[in-house]
Amino acid sequence: MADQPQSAPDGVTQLLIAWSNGDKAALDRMLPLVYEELRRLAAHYLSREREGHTLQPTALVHEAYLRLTDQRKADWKNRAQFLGLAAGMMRRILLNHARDRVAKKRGGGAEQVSLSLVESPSGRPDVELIALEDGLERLAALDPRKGRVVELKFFGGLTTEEIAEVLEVSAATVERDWTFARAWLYEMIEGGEAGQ
Amino acid sequence: MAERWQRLTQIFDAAVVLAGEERCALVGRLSAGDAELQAEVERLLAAHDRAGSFMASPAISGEALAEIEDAWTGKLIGSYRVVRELGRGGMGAVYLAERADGQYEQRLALKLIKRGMDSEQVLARFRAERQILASLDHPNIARLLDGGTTPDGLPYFVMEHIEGRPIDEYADAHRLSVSARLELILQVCAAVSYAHQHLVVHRDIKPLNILVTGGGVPKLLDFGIAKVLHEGGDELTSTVTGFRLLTPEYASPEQVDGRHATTASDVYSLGVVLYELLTGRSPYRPKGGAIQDIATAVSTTEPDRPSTAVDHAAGASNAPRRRAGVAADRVAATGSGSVEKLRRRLRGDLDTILLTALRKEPQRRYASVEQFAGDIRRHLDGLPVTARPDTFRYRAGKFTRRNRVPLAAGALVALALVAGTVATAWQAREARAAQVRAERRFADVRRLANALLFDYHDAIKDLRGATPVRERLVRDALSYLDGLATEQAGDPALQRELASAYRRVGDVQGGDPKGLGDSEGAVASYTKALGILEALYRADSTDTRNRRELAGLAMALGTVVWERGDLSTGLAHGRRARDMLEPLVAASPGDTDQRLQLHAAYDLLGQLSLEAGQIAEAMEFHRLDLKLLESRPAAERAQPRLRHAISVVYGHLADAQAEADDQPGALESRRRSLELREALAAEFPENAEYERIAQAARYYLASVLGRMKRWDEALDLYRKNLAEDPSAFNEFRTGEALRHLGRPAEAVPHLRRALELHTAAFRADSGNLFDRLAVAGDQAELCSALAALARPDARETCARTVAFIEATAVEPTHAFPRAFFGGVWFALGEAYDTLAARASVRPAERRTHRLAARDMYRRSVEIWTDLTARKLVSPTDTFRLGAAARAAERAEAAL
Repeated sequence: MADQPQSAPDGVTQLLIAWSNGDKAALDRMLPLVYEELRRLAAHYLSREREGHTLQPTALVHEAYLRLTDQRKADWKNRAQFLGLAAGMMRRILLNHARDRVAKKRGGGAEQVSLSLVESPSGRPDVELIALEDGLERLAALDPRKGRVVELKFFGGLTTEEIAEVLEVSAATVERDWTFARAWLYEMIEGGEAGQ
Repeated sequence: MAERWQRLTQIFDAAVVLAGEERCALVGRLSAGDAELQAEVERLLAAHDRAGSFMASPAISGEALAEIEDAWTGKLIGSYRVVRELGRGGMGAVYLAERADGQYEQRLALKLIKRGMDSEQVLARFRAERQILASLDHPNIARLLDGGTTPDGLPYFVMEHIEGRPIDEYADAHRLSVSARLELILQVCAAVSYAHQHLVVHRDIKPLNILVTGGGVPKLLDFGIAKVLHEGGDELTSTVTGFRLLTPEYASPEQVDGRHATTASDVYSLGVVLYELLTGRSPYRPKGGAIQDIATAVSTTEPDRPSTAVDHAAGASNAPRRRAGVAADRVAATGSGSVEKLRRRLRGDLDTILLTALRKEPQRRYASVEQFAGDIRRHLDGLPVTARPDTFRYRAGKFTRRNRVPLAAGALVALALVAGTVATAWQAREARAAQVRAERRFADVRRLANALLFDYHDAIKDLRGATPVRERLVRDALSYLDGLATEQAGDPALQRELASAYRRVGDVQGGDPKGLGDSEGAVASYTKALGILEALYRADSTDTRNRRELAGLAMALGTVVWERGDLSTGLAHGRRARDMLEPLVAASPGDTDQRLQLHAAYDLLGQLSLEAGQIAEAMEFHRLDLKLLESRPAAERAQPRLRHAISVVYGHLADAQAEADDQPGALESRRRSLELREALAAEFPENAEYERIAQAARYYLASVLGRMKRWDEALDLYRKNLAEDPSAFNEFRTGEALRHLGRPAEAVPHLRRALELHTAAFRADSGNLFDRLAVAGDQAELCSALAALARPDARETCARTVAFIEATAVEPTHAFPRAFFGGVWFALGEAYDTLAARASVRPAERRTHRLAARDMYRRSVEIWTDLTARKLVSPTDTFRLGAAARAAERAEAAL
């Protein structure tokens, strides 16, 4: 049937295993596959949204994982790695897209961010995503794990427990990292506007 | 990680779980005199407290990815080239477009619906609505011209492009007075009312959908599109999930609550638009700008009186949307002199009119847009208005809100009961004055009938098992309409509405392919509509609308009685349509729509004549039709829809020619038809429909060639189709041609493939008679090919075919499958003949085969004889009876 998943591009499992065994090149070969699959899934989900589906990144990345990997071979650790990977991809998809649109709309360049936009009912303002990305890069430079927590939770839609699995830390640590990172990012974006 | 960062996070982690004094104290203590660190922690804690829902939900939103496909400028969508983007909204983007073939200079607006709008359903609804939407022909309505899908399946609509400004901007820019604003809205009301009479509800009336041209003419955009895009009740839900279909500021409470929009919802939205035009602000003061706030305000709070709204607006810095300091603007924009003057102008009539239109309960609003417009008109003319302000008692009681019953799909059976409830409500009002009662009742019944037919029916029609409810809805709607028909004579607008509703009932009953299959009911309803339209026509035969609608209905009736086998009545209706349309086409030759309507009438007449055995008449109609279409100037003739129509006429002319045994003529017409379609398919490669109809034309041409025994040419065409579409049907035809060419060995793989595919389809849906027939046909052909090859499995294949046909029960009056089997038996007879003729066969076996052949031919004769006696055979098929009878005699003689 037409909208059934194509057979899993073979090799994603192998690539995942190779990658977790330290083969960095495996990642480069895997990323385009994952990226495409996520985009396709996103479109697929969007087309079903009206049937009461909310577009959950979690559902997306989980499904991408199921489709791209042969589960009999991939173990739990691979899955966690995959979820982490997919969250990064989501971040990239969203960011690229936001940048494109902003560039198109304004004729280039991001602009000052107002957090009042955060509550905008329809979708998330592009400028907010871009500002967030800047903040996230700075945060990750100061504290890589906190950066990862934000990426996994906000862009990947993973639960606290899943993040704990991926990062191999306790759920409480994830919660703490998240609380701090959120405050730090908010302060950075909003404070940057009001303060300095 | 820097030590300082670590301290920062540790202090934060410890402090964030505390509050107030306790927290302050802890931060002070842990910072241990490092003032900078302490300040930083405090800033972060403050940020934490303020962050609210920042990043609370994951980043991805429906829109973010939906817009990944983009950048259409310069590209082709259907037969249109995108010039530039005009705007972007919740449902997609609107582009300025032009025809790619450069036929017309006309600029068009092309609305591309983004992914996520459920393309297939949108398209299905669009197809269902298109006829109605395209028929909306009003100077204040932007015409819907076309629609389709992009190659990757995004639906699009093509509309007349209106250069204008939203009505509110226009009114302010031109400093229109209150009266001028009222006149403007009256024009809008006329358009909406016209659409309602055609049973189309707008559902999304808002200033952005009302553009006023430079000449001051308001034009409504997107009529009915909201319905096409979004059927069903959960409009607000979709709004929340990011697909903003509804603009909550203008949506009625029932829409906000996820109930169905009706004509009363349009009355409400018009009320909001007028309210804003007059006061410069929204009727509500929501707590915030979020959709949910607005929705809550719309469904739970009462609008401010327009006259007092001007005051509120004066000091309103929190006035929603773009308008701060509105009162002064308003005074200036409307030339009212002072706030007090403007207030006085609005107080009284206009307050009452607007608050009546804006009532929460649809049934308490104006019963129609006409009534709303009527009051505005009366106010302008200084006459008393009909609306009455709410009584105090009513206002006091109304906030004890009723329990709303959501319209869940599962509870649809309850819908049918709605009718009964409303009926009881009328009876409760019996006590009122007769005049009031009659008007009221009429409005209620009318609204109810419309709701039953349009909203409720449409909402459930695709649900499994909805048929009994649909039937009930149709019955109820009919009884209301019948009641109305007896009560209300005289008012042409209402009569037209009634006719339109009856027609719609007819469509639902059986006129539409997706109808309930009750063609008898459809005929009855259509006939009622016809009666009304005929009366209107008699009263005013100069109104072209009466003629057109009468013609449209005659066509619908003609088609449905044809399906019921009543050819002479069908012909009468076809002639009726023709007589209505011919003068119209003569009067305005440039109106392509009308011309195509007349073409449809000629085409129906031609087909019906042929079926009635009147071959010469049939040809005459098709020739007339060709003249009608081909006589147009090159520019008009180049339109794809005209070319398509011409190709259809050539096809039907070929049918008539074949019947008259003019095979060369038929061949020539078939070639013409194919050429036209191949040109369309080549020109619009993205339109799969053109390729599909080209394939059909190729098939028909090939069958004429087959009848002329020019199997090699037929084979080329079949092979071309097979290459385009490796379907069972094309496999079968290719195999059949090869067999006739005496190449059975090559035929066998094609026939086996066809059989395989058909068998799979048949297994998936064994109740499907057509798949059954196809399997039988494939088997018969395959056994002929195997017999010709003298293959040992030929006999077994033939025997299996016989068993298969015998296992298929067919009603004696079901002409098509019986005729088909008549053909299959004949083919089997030929196969057994071939087996018998083999040189190597033993005499006893030869006799068995000859006996079998004779039996097969006889079965064929039996079917044809019976069908002929039942008058179920078209004249085309009579020669088959002769052929079968002769073959049976030959077989008998050989024995």
